Amino acid sequence: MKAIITQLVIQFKSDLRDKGILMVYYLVPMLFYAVMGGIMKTLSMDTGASLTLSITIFTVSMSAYLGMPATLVKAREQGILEAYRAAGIPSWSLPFAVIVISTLHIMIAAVIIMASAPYIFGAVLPKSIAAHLLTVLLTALCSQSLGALTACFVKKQNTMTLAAQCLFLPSIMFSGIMFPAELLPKPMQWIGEVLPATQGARLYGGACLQLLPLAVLAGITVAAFTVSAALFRKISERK
Amino acid sequence: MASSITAENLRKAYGKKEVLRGVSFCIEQGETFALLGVNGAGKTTTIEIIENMRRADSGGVTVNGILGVQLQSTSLPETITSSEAMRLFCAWHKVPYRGDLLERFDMAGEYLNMIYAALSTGRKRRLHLALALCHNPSILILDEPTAGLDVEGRHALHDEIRKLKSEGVSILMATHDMSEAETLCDRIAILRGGVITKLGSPLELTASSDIQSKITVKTRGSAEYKTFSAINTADFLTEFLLKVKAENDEITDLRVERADIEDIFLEAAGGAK
Repeated sequence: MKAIITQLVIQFKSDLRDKGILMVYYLVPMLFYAVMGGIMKTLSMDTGASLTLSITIFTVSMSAYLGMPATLVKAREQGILEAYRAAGIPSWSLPFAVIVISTLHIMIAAVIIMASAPYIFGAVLPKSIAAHLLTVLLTALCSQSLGALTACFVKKQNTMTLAAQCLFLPSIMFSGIMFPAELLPKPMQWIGEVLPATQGARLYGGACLQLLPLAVLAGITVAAFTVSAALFRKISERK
Repeated sequence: MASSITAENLRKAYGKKEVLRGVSFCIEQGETFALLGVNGAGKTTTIEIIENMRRADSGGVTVNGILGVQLQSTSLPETITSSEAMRLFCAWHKVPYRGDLLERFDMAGEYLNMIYAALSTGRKRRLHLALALCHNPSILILDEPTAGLDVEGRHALHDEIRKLKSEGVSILMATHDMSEAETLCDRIAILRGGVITKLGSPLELTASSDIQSKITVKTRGSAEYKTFSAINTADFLTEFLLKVKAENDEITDLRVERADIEDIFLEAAGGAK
């Protein structure tokens, strides 16, 4: 237990020194937040709860698809996983720490957005902060389960960048956070239905958590993490 | 003396390519043992099987002791600091933080909080060696420990390996560096095509060679140096001394250049120096 806590603390501290990680988890989402908030305010659009939700889903998708999987693929590509294994450190500890700390980064960014949007852009605070944060957490875990699954199939970092776009772009375009999903062609709407971003955007309807999106998110999360764990075991076992 | 590592008839193939074809050796407690071989000879595969990172197709390995491992191509997260890495490794091995090891390997002071990516190759090697020793292993496995190091870095690492040897740690190292193997190791195994073609102490290997020694002599009676070649140097010198004595002459200078490990290695590998 002490070892895994030590690893989590070290993972968090070393992430904060990594410019690439700071860019993906904080800088780009915050820039997007500033630009989108500015546009909505300038056009006198209703920023209500939609700004907070849109930017948070964007942040979740960016971190879960472009940030976390790249760290896992890098660890595999650079031999970090092998070094840990050779030293007697369990192979699962690294992806576990990366996913847990990635979730923490996402939650920090979500809190920053939620707390600052009312003051900067006149957005309203979610009716239930706990339900909003739970929505973010579930969406983050579900998105990361898909990110982790993708990372199991990819060996090179540059391939991961391309693979991540296949998850990130549809999440932003088809989930309804940028514009109403009903305006999209049907096939795009169908794709959107299986993306965590879409279900996450629907999960918290302002009063309580919706059951169907919750079930879809939970199903995807359990299935993707189970398959990822099995694949990862296969990757890291003795050759 | 008990063996630290015993490898028996190890066999391993990657697809149709047989990389190990019956490798057997044992390493005694406190012994420093080198596996020499060209690329693809099977050194790393042998070491990975001993480390339990790879599974042999047949044969077995017995390890009597706690293993510490430094891999050939090893890495740490780019933004982890030396002290954090040590803290992490110690935590997983359930031992207190080993700042003493970082000091011993000259990784204290400014290097303590330096991130991994900012360390030079030599410093990274030192850090990995310190990490491999954090749980006081009785057996240390080093795969190409000095690859990519400059002369100074290599000497510093050699000194550390000598210190570890004096502390009774058994060391198995795979290396390309002949002089490293000759000066640091008690015994050397030369791997070629997945089999051990020569095994013995550096002296035994050079003495058992069929490579001729080069003997350069100057006597009082001759104006110039004369050079001879001999397989059995002792017999040649005994005979030569008797001849010189019989001629009432006297040796004024003598130089014997025996085959070194590099010659033996090239002989075993079928090449030429």
